[in-house]
Amino acid sequence: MQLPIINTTKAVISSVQTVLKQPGRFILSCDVSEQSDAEFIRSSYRRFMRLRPLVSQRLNVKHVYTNYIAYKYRYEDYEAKRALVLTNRHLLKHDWRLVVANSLKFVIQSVDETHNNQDVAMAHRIFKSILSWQYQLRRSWKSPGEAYTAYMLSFKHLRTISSTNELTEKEVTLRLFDQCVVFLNETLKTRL
Amino acid sequence: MPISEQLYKSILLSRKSKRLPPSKVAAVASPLLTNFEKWSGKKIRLNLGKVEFENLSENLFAQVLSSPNRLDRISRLKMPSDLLLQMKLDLSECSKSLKLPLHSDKSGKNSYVVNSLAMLKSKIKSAASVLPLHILASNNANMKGVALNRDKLLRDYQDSMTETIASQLNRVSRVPKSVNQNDIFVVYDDKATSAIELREVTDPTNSKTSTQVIVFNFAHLAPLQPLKQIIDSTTDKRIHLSMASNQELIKLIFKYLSFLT
Repeated sequence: MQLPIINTTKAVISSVQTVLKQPGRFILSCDVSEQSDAEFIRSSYRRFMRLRPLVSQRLNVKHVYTNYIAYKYRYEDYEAKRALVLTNRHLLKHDWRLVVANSLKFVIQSVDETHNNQDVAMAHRIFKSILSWQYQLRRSWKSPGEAYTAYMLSFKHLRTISSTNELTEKEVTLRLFDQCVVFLNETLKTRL
Repeated sequence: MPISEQLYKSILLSRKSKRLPPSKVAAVASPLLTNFEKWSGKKIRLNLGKVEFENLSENLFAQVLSSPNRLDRISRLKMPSDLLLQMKLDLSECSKSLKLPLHSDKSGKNSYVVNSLAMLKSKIKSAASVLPLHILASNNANMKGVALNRDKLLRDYQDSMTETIASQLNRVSRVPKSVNQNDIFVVYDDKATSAIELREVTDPTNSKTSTQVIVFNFAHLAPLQPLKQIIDSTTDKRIHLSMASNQELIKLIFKYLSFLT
């Protein structure tokens, strides 16, 4: 049986999904270079937040996403994290606006399931892993506040340690995961 | 006698219908339809029609992070399975035992543990701490007597890993080829401190452009000392691997390096 397709001014709705007609609200406009730094930060932040309904239909995943973006913009010292993982400091630093724009493109690609594409599926799984680690931070530690300070703000697990004996088993796993994420960011010029 | 029908009709008044003529205002569409995307309850998707990041499968770190999430039995975190170490419960023989396969696969009964030699040495106390959860939960008494010789298991795993990597590295072609983004160099460099790092190198065929490559450094790791001579036997003291042709080997080395550090 042919199910009805509803066509509104903003979207086309089928029995499976809602496809938005105006993706312009989610993409950074071309005149980015004319914006001041504050304007650029605000406009990119707005676009990340507009993607919230697209990331998941579940409320707790949406919460995790919002907290993750807010953490990225307001609290994370990414340069410190990067310096802890990349030992050779002479690696090129990329333009931060390019990096933010690339991250936005990566998140958009990860929620863009309209085509059946391997790269889209991989981006989706990578982003899902990152969000699931954010979620576990609140669930797997007895005191999430302390864990947040230790692993998200001061990167205790990434500091060079003479032997891994000084780390707990959770920290060893996290160390490997975060190193991988920073290496991925370097290769894709993103900042996830 | 009743009056005739003709007479009866002539008595009745003829009058016009009181119904109002149809309105000229256009019909208002219900907001249920015009804003239906708000409460359709379906997954919301964008249709951009283009993919920004292509060839993610040729990026080692993208491959590792996109592997399916599995529960680590020791740290109790869910992590991508390529970052963990798979343990297989071998039921084929009469004696049940746990094994560490070189390449992880779905077959059989599996559990996942943290991929670190130092952690495994101190944290595996008994077989029950690493058995697959569904085995533990079952009341099958046969499963309780699983043998686990931790030191032998870890030693055997290291030996077979070193051997496999050595034999596969020997088979890699030594013909110089052009360097692509995210290719892998296997080196033995005492000066560099970390086992995995990113470097900018100049392409031998086109010396003007510099490309970012991933470097696996075998120095500072005792079990990899025997591989030094394989690397030294090459002309420029490095073995060049690419994800397109040596994917299995690259993932194996990555796993082993993170196991040892």
